[in-house]
Amino acid sequence: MERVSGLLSWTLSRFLWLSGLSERGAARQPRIMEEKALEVYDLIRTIRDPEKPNTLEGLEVVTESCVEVQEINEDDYLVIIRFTPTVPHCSLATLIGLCLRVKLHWCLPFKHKLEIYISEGTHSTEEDINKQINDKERVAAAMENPNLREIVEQCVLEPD
Amino acid sequence: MAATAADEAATRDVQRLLVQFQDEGGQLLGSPFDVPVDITPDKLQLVCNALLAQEDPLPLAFYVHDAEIVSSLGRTLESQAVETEKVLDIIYQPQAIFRVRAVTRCTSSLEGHSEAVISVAFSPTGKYLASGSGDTTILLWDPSTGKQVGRALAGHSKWITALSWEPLHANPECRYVASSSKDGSVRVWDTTAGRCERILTGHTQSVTCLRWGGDGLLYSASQDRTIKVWRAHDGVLCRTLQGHGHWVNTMALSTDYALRTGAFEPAEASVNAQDLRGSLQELKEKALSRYNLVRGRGPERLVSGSDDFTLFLWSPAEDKKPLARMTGHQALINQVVFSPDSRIIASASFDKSIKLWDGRTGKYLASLRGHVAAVYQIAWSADSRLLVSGSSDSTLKVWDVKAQKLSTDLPGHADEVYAVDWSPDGQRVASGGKDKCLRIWRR
Repeated sequence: MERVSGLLSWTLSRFLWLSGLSERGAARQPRIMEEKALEVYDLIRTIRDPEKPNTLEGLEVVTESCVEVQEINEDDYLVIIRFTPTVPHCSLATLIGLCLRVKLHWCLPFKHKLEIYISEGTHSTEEDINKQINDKERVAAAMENPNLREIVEQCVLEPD
Repeated sequence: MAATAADEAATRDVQRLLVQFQDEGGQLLGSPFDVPVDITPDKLQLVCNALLAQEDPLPLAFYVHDAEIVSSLGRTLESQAVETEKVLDIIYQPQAIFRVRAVTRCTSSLEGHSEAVISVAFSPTGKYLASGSGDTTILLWDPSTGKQVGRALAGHSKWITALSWEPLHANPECRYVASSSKDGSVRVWDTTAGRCERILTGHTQSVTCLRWGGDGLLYSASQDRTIKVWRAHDGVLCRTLQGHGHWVNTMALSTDYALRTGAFEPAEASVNAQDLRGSLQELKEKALSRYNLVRGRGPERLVSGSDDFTLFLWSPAEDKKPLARMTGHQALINQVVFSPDSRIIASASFDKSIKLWDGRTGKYLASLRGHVAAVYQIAWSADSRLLVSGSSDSTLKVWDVKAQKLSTDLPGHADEVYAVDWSPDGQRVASGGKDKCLRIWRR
């Protein structure tokens, strides 16, 4: 009887300990995602707008809350960015999307999959633009165009 | 002065020719104009650059009927029958734009190691090739015949990580080579006698990188986070450089290029450099003068890169404290290289960027971004203008260092590119990687 009760209490304490562990683990995950999201935001906020002399942060095209990071695998993350163009018919929305993609591709140290969307309801042709920005082939073709590449490099380069 | 030269040319009645510049694709540059037949490539370069309206004068090479104009137009035409009535086409080629040449033949296969070959090093005169392997031995080869020379040098207990020959100006016979191993020791070998001359122990973990300096000092970097400075001739430990927080992966000396090329002066060489001529004494003096030129007045500088994401700049012959701590990389540094003129340091990191630093002070200059995965190795061109990098993303990229941007993208490898090197004469770039393919790139 004693042995059984001893075993029972051991199993119970183990169970409580394990559930505590998983809680701690769950609490840890959101923090890591927040840190990664801040890392991503730190990189994209210094990108300059192609037309105006301000940064994307200054024009409120991107904000801290618009970056979301999810863990897919160990060390592999899904990064989702929703940016808001300054005007609903902004013609450079695709260019801004391209700049975001290139900047993160070149500068973000951890392995990531990137999805960029226009914030819902902020652009007249947002579905088309979303499709274009997330199409790998069109992005590669755009970067092969030397003029476009020049512009992107200008926007993305940090002043040292 | 120019006026008198022109007068002289007029009085001498030098033959004049009508020339038309053309680029490699056949496109004409400017209109035909006449030049004296004894015009030199430098003057042709001035004219061509003026016509091209380049911001920075490009070095150009000029070809007439596939013969390069080396000394003067007249000389090159002597061997060819030229009609002075017709306009002569001179094709200009800007230097250093790369194209792949199909590598069609393997000239020799050197077999002898029983495990992976990890490091190779040519001797300073190019007469011997030393190779270090996972089978813990070092073999010496004659590159021209492909045959092994002497006996295998055995003694290390684990695999060889790096090899470094004694500089030519210290000993023109190129007799000694140093090797480092995972077993934590450095051995100095006498290649003519085929035995180990000296064993330098002191590191507590694997020695990752080795450099035989030009002032008689041997530098070894290790996973025990230190760099040890040894006196080469008697093996005494002079100094231990501490500061890194994690494994030291790579080192470079400010005089690396001069030590590697010895008495060979690329500016004077032709495309196929043959054996060096001259007595041992002449070679030694030539190598010494080239070494002193790069070294300058101060001692050799050493830069080290580590897994702790930082680099340190040291003056190891003088001080055990670093000259500068160079931070900024966001991942481990795989390789650091000094430019041949020792003015700039380039570091390749797993954070996809290459950073440029001042070679004297260690001050940060710029970041070169463009790779989309870890950058494994980098190599400078002989004129310190271009940098080639090989990356995990399977591309090589050639960077213009002065403009600090990408010059040419070289895709072609099927998988990660593990190693790149630029030949010291500046003619070819070799790259190899995970796809088991060795590619040679040239203009």
